[in-house]
Amino acid sequence: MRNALRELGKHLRIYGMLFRLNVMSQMEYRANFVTGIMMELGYMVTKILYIVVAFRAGKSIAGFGPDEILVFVGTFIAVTGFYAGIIMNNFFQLSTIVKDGSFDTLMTKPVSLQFLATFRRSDIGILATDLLGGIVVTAIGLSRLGGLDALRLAGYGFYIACGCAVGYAVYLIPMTLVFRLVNAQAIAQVTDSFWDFNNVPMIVYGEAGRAIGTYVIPMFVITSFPSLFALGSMTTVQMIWGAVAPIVFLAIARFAWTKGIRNYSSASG
Amino acid sequence: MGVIEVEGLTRHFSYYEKAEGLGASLRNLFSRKKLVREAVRGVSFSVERGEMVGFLGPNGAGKTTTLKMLSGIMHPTSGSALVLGHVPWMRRKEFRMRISIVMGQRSQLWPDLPAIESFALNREIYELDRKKYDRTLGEFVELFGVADFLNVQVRRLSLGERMKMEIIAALLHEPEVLFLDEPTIGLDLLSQRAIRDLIRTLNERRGTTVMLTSHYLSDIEELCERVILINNGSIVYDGALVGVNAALAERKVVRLVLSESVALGTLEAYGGFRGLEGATATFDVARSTVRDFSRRVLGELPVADLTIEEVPLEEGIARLYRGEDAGRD
Amino acid sequence: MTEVSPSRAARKYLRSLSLGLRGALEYRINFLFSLLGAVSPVIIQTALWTCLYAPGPGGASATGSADTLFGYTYAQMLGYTVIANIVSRLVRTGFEYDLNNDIRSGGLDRFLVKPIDYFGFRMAQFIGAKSAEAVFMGAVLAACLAVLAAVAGLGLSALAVVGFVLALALAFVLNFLIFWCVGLLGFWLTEIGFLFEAVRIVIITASGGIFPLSVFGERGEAILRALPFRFTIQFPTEVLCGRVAPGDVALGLCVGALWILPLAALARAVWAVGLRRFVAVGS
Repeated sequence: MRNALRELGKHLRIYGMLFRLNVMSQMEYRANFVTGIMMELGYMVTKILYIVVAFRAGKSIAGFGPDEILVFVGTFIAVTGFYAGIIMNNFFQLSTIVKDGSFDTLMTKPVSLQFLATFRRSDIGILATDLLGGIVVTAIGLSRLGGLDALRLAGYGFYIACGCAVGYAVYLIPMTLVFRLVNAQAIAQVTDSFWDFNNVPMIVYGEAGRAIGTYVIPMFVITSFPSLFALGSMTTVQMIWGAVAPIVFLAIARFAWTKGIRNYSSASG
Repeated sequence: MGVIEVEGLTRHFSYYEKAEGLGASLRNLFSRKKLVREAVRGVSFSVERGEMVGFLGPNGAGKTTTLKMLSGIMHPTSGSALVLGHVPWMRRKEFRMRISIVMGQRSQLWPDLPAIESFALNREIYELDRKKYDRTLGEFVELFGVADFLNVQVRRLSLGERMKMEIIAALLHEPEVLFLDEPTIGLDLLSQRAIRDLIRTLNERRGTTVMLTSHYLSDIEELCERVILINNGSIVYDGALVGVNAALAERKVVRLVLSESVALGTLEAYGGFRGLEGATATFDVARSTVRDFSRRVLGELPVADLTIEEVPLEEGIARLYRGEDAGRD
Repeated sequence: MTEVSPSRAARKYLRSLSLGLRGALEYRINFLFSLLGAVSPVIIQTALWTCLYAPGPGGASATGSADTLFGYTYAQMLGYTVIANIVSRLVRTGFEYDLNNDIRSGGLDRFLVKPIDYFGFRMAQFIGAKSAEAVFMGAVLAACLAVLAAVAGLGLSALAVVGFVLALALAFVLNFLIFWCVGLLGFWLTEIGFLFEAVRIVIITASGGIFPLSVFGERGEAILRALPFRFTIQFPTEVLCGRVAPGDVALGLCVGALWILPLAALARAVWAVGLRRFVAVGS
């Protein structure tokens, strides 16, 4: 147990260093920093476009008014910062580093391989753009609805953390196919398109859609759940599942990863 | 019990046949043929602590694959290996803390940052004591003479300087076993020499066990007393480097510089004629007959100069690849 | 420059075409994934529209307006959504990354020395790859249209199909030219990063690839209709859905074709200027 804690501390320290190295790198060679911001702004426009279109068409979306929708979209944008700024590029790069051999070097380091492969790179421009945009939009929505008390805010934060964990796991699982398929870049692009399911409140998808998106491919746990909690619209079942899902899916992801590595080292060259 | 113990290590790769032409590509959409390549076949050897072993072979011989298995990157198809008492492909943390691998064409340094930052990251990864790290780093920096480059972005360094930094990064945690895969490829002579010196110093001072693959015989010649020759996945020779020549027919190379032109037919009649370049004729002669041969040509041909040389190492090893036995012509 | 017989020249480009085709066939998994990438947006947008067109307090009918939004009935909007997403994937380019790579790595030198026009080479490769994709996508499109006809009562006329094929060909050419210019940015910007992605999202949005351009309001739509982008996605889609009168189809094709001239001129100018700089300065 003590060993596990020590390892955790070590990995957190190393993450701090990696984050810092990424920031320094991007300040040096600013391509990714600047164009990352541009890219996220572009995506933010389309995210907001969905909502603008929806409101031009009707007065509310499935019972949620404009202010509530601001909370949904704002949370979505902010959590996208975690996805796109912290983990996405690691997934997109995975097949590249496997092909060029850098992955092999990572395998020989006395640090968790999964950790290195999925967290090594972070894009501060993307993270900052989404966090800023998301926080502003959410704050506007929440303030117009009367704000949040400390307890609800804490719960909101808790479910965001759970959502991020689920997002990490759900996106890692298909990426473990990189060890079997030649072109995992394509996988990353498809799963990337799934992220946008959260662009509209989950209620839009009908019962079957909601069930699939909550329990099978738990996209809605990632950003809809925290928003629902903040708005006080979360059912008890959802509250429990929202806390349990991260454990379940992280376990599945870990299993898929170790199996994938086993495949990689044993399989065809 | 050696530091590295390898027994019957085998590795097969399966792959799909690549298609030539549009018709074949279309056919491949429906069914593909699976082929097997035996990269490493039943390789066995043992390395003692402090040894420096050279792993030599042509492209595709199985050198890199073997190294990958010994460093834990790859599982073998069959066979066993123990490095520092660990099964490498189990990838235990303790194992990874005590070994290091440097692969010539690949970099573990962050290109847009000074090397010192990558070093600091390794310090954390290998849980090095701060004071010890500073001492070790200082020692390597001095040995390599790279103090001025520590704070320069890695991508601005020359290939030689970059490679030195790579090696420092790989050695900061003072590994007991060091795997080097083509470490000096593409480098200028001075850098090659500097790197060889560092590795030798490391081996002498710290007893680091080194397994080195290279295309450059000079690496092997200058560093390793023992060489393992591998070809088509199997070990062709395992022993002292000097033994390579001894394993061949004892032959010499005799070079004649001719003062007048001589007909090719005349030269060929002497046996062992290898070629004529300008005024220089080269002959391949058995050691026991060199004296008689020399006397004959000096008497019968217009020789301006005569030199007798050892068969070059490359040539000797090339012959071993081809499986030529001692005593053959 | 030596004289090259026309058949010889044709064979060169044919080979590039064949190469493009083969490359595309080899990456058959890529097709599947490219198609799968269209699934999410279609589902999301369909769900949204279903919600918005639904009768009841939340839907459009609540506002008392007719059952059209932004000029489309529910069935028409569904048709637009499905087809626009497929067309968007179909006309998508990717060569701007290769182009940028060639500029960055200096590999462009290799091409400049060969007696094949780089532009022609890239164009032929693009057409080759797209032709292969078009066959697969065409099958998918046909299936979707059948479903839409059954479910939403969407009709299909022979004229619409013919018009669609022509509009699609136009879309290929225009999209190629547009992204050729985008790719040429590599001559000036040493740091590209996510730039292509940023540009691509904006262009797709302006092409009607996410929502029909009427969602931007009167002013917005007028501005966007004045640009060439709508011919890459919105126009072919509308033609296939039968929303464009026969006369307007011909008119649209002409207007779209007219855009080829300024775009081609721009492409040439940028190439010339960029190449001068490349040869003088290096990558």
